[in-house]
Amino acid sequence: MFAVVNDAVTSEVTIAPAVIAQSNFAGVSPESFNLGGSDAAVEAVVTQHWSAEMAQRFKDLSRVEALGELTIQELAELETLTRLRRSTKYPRTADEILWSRRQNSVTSGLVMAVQKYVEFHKATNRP
Amino acid sequence: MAAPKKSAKPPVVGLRHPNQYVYSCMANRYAIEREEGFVLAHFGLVNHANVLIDRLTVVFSDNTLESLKENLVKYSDEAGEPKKEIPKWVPPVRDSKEISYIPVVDFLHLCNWNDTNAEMCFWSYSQGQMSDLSRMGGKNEFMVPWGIALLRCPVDLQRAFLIELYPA
Repeated sequence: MFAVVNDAVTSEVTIAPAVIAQSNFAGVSPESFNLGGSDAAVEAVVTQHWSAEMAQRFKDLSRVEALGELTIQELAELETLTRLRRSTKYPRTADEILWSRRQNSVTSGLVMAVQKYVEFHKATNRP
Repeated sequence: MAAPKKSAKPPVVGLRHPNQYVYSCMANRYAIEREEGFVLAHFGLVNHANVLIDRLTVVFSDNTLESLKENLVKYSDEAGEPKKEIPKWVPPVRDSKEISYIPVVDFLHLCNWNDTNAEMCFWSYSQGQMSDLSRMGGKNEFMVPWGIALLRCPVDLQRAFLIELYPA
């Protein structure tokens, strides 16, 4: 015989979920996976969407940036908006992204080499 | 003779989140080891005294990395570059008890929040089951993968890991 305990004390938990900024998974969409023999491919998913307000804010911040008057917070906001705009409005393929990273790396290497060259000629007196 | 018509859409199978994870851990170090045909991803949790207190190693086949490339590189582009450098880490050699188990990854679920925290969930599923479900041709075929491990880490570790996983 079992007695039902009505006055059991349980610890109720309320959890505030984290506000996820970025995720690569759509959840339950069957479109996320595209299986064709061995060419299984997974589409990237963007959780945030580009809105008219964001577009206006992007324009405003870009204008202020051109005048060189952005605060550090605004600069960070512009960077976030630029990244979101690129991924939602003008998405690039993985190869284009990797090519762009390689280009940035080569360019920054070149700039550093030129800087070193200039510093060398400024700092040294030829014998 | 007319060429055979291509089907409009290839069969698709959806993935649901795993019901549970075999293992959950935190990491503040990572290392990538490239081998022929596969890549080992090592994660470690190191304390102030530089003592390793937890670790996880998973394996990706080259084929899986290729199939996840579009997804992971686009996510990496969205997440951006690390703002703080993650110290280089050489994982200690695994002892004989550990050698018997390195789980294989078929999908890597990523997210980040507050510009500080990130999560990497390693999922595994049977390609055979996926293929069978796809052949059945139902409209709403789903599969629940096996949750190998849930790893919590700083967002900069996740950013650096992805950039190194798919080098430019």
